Amino acid sequence: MTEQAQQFAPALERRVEEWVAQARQKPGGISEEDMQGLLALVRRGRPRQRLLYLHAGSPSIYAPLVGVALHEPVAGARTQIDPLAPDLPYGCVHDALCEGWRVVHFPLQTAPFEDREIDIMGYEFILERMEEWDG
Amino acid sequence: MAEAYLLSDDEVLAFVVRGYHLVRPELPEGFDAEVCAAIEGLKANPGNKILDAVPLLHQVYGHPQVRGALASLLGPDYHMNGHRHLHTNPPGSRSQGWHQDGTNVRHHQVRTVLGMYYPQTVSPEMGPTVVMPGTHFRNAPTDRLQTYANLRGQVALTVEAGTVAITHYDIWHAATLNRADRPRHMLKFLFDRVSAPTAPSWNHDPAQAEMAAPRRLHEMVGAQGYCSDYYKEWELRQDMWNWLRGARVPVPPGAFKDMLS
Repeated sequence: MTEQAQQFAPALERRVEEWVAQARQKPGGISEEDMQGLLALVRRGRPRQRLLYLHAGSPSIYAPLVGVALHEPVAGARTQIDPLAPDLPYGCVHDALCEGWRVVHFPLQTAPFEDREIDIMGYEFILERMEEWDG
Repeated sequence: MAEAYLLSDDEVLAFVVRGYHLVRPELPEGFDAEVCAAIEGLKANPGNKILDAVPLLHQVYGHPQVRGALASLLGPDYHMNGHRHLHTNPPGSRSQGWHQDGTNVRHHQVRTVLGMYYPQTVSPEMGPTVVMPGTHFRNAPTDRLQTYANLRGQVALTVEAGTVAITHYDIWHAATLNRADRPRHMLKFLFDRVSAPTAPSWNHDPAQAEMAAPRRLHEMVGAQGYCSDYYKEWELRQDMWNWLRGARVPVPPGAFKDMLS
């Protein structure tokens, strides 16, 4: 997983990875209490829909991305235009599929009947990942 | 208008392609801080009366460098629009969505520009305005832009104090989140073209322009990599460049009736 895609890792996966990292460092091995803690981690949270809007340069899932907007299922969360944001986390839609995202909306293939005008930018794919979530 | 302050062919071509041009007028030392102090001393936002409330702004928009750039893009008889606004982006703000200031129009002329003056040096943390180069050619309703966030090729106007960003009225832009501990100010003024161009209104050198135009008009800007749109965009750039030079360009069907054809 790339560093930029790390922020898109499932919360449960991140928590379990942290638990494993701590357990490995623990002298004397893992206790019953630790195991109970791991179970509590897994049971916590309800699945929620994370949405990822990817605007690709063409309807192909291999086309370079024009833009990315990630929407987290957390009250008050708003996706923003951020001049400090690193480069886009994925190069194309296929990269996101490889990270477990599932496409729920594909762009229309129909070409606009317009000889000269250009309008919106890119082709919109909407992807989701159902994940348990804190907060 | 003194020729020294008019734009060059290359600068006008860059504006045609990107949709914006930055000017930094040579103002007296301490001038921008004085404007900031005047703004921050206002009891309320005066809206269109900002010029009366902060008369110092006459020096910005009346500066020969700013007037030269505006005359180059709008013709020597351009007009300052009655609408203007002080935009203050406070600490802790959220970003705006991408938007165009105007309604969509099916023309590719330069009829109105924004003159955005920044009296402070704007860092990335202060919530700079972002613009998307090349989008002034896109006939895209603002509500269709609301699923975009960060776009490849977006440009944050992190500028030095005193900079005036002249942008095509239709360029996609937005204020971004301000993470700093102080507000970021921007004065937005509008300028309108009065008459259709009959000849270049900038420092035009036909021989040099002939050489520079093909390269400039095919420059890749913005997100890149979407070829069909780019081919069309090249044609639209050529139309705008031709129109600015005084050539007649066919007016597309459905365009505003009061277009400057």
